[in-house]
Amino acid sequence: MKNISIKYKLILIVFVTVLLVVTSGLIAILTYEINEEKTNLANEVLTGTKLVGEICVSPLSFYDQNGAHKLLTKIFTIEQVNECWLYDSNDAIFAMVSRSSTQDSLPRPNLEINGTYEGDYLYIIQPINYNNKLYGYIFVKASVLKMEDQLSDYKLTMVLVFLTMLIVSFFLANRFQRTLSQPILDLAQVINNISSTQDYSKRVEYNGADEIAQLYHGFNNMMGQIQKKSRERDLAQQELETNEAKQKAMLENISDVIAIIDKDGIIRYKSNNIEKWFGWKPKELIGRSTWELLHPDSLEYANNIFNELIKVENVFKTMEVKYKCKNGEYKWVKSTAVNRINDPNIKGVLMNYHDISERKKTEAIILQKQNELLEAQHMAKIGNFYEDLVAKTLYWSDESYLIWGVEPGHTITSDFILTLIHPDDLHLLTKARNDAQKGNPETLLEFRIKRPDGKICYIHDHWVSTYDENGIEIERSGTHQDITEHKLAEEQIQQDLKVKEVLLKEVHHRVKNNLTVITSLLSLQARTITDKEQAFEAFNESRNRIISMALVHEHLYRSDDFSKVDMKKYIETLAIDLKHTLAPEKNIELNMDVKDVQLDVNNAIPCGLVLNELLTNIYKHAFPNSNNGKVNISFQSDSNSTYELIVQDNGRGLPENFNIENSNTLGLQLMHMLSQQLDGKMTVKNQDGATFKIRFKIDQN
Amino acid sequence: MFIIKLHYIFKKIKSIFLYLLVVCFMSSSIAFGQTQSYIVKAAFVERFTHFIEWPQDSTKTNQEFTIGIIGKNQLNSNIEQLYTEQKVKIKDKKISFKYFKSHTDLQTTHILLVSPKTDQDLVNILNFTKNKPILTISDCKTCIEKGVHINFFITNGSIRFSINNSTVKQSNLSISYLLLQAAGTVINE
Repeated sequence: MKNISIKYKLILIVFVTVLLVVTSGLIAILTYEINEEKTNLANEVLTGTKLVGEICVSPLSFYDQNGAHKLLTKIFTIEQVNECWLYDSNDAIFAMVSRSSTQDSLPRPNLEINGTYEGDYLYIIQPINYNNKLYGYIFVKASVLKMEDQLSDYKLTMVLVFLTMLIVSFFLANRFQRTLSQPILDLAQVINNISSTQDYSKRVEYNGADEIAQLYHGFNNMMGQIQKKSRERDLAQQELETNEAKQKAMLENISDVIAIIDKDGIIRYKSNNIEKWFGWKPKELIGRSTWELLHPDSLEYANNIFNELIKVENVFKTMEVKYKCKNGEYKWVKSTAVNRINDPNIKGVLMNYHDISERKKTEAIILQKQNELLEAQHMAKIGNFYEDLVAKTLYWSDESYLIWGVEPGHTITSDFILTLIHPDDLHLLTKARNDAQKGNPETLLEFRIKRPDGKICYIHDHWVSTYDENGIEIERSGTHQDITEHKLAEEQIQQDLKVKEVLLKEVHHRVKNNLTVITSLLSLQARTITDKEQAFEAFNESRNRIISMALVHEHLYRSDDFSKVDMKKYIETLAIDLKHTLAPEKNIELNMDVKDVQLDVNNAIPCGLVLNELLTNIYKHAFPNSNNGKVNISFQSDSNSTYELIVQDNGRGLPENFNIENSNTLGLQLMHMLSQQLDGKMTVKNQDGATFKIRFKIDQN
Repeated sequence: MFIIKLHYIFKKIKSIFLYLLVVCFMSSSIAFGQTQSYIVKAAFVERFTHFIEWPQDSTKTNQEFTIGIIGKNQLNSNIEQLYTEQKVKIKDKKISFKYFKSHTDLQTTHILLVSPKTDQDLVNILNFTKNKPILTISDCKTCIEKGVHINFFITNGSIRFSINNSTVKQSNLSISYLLLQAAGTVINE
């Protein structure tokens, strides 16, 4: 339809309009005539039916069916009536007449069908009343075929009129359409000419003042506007092309690559300068997934950021990822992305990114150096700090936090530091700060701090102050060093020196004492010597006693603490050595129950000499006739610093009427003297062998 | 309102019943020949009143519709029983029956069923009813010519009736053309 000339369209419009109007008119006339005919027929049949029904009252009253039949035949004076039925008031058929020999099925006196047309018949049914009493019904069936025959002639006439009107309308439409179509066709020809030549200066001419003249005038105005706009557009186009060239040059030379990826991560745009920085041509990447170009290490990180980004419109996110170049190498890039999925011009995530590989390398080196510095600080226990006295801000390195025992990240202030200084050293720091304020450019300071965990630490501070042009201190930068271990070691050394000095004096004193004891022992021993054999015996005994004393000193210098003797080792060594010396051939069982007890040398030597005398006596005299025996040695202490040495044998026992205090043997006299030296008490039990018990108490003060 | 409606329904049922009875009479007359013809005739008597109008002064004062009976035949002997059993009303009035032994006893009624023993007897009766709005009905062959208004006769096995329209006009009774149309014979002289 759109391709048909306006000439034929106008003809068609007029033709169709006439067709519709004439058809509608003819249908209306025909409908009116049919209704008129039907109404006339219905009125005629109804009138006849009423008349016949009225006169049928008497036959119905007196059951005169013959009379009723005769009366019903009068209805046939109406040509169209085919059948007539008479019902009594009980709806029973009373009489009927028909033009034909056959009738339809018996109708029922249904008043609802009165005046209706069904098929080729009109149905009329009327109640028969007389003096307001119902006597029955009359039902008439009339044919409409005759009426239709009459209407057929009428229809034929209508068709002839219709065809005539169509032919006339076609010729008239063809004649008058030129008035409208010709100017439009002329205008179309001019438009075609303009579009083919692009010559917007052409105009159309029309003599008249109707709507076509307005159309021509409007067209000419519009062409004028188009001509003007065309010139403006050409200028704008030139400007646009210039700007595009500039933008292209800018894009190709900036370090940032511009990209658009859709919500599924598919690359939709890449700026041309990607080739310069990463080797790819844009067309090689468009349509690919951006995730293919990321290093596996960056994939999850970038994916998480991207998923967050696409949830909210216009949100900016930055990320640093490893991006694959065309040569397979990965470069670190910093990308800034913004969600513009709902922007119809973008429809995706707009990204710009640039190569930061060099920066990453530098950062790695700096990080390594920082770590090394931190490690060095940690090893040296040195932390650095920087305090801006104007801005009142204070920076501590990680190691500073460790040294001061403060939770990393805790806000540090000058006042906070003062709370950690040991009260006894607070004045040191206050003075140092005052000196720095007064112009001391470098401060060296040692003080103690009490850390939040309660630990006391020694700190060595070294800072340098910076001053403004007015000499006011504005910055302090320096180090904290934890010198606690150094300080403690120094104190230990000092303490050790003092101990050694005391010990040296003690050694000299002991040597003198021991020599005195030995002298005394030898003097005592000398009194008992009467012959050569006794002299020999006395030498042996003296030797054992000196060994006992030497053994104490041996244990002393082997111990970490030169002032204490480990009695357990000492007693075990002394007992075994004496046995090997005095009774090597005898099978004497030694049972020792010695507690871990530390005694100073002043108590250890008497105790060792007592034990020496007891064991010497046992090995020499307890088992004269036997090679077997048993010796139990016990050395115990209690919480009151009371010690108990018990030496028991199962030998022959002590002589009858034995009294250690009245004994004239050197050994027993020594034991008695030594127990008194220990301020102890010795008891002897002579049963199943001999049992010696020495109980003494040591004053710890 | 409900009572009025109930009364209407009752009346409607009653009228339908009466019509059924008449049809039954008619059917019976055909089915059983002449033996029960008095029933049809009794129904016809009631139907005649549909098409006849009595002068207003003759019906206005009377609360009952009177039927006089003079002479004996099967209709005269049974009509009262039939009407009473069926509770028949004429023109919405209760029916009363009056029996006359001779013309000397005659009184004015709306309908007079005549069954004369002799012609003279008929003359005497008609002299009484002459120019009075008394509808005379008989069941004898010559009665109609002598002046009885309606007379029953049988033709082709069916009970029909003839009307003496001239005597009807004289008696001031108004008769419908429909009744004249239904009549087998109409005498107009």
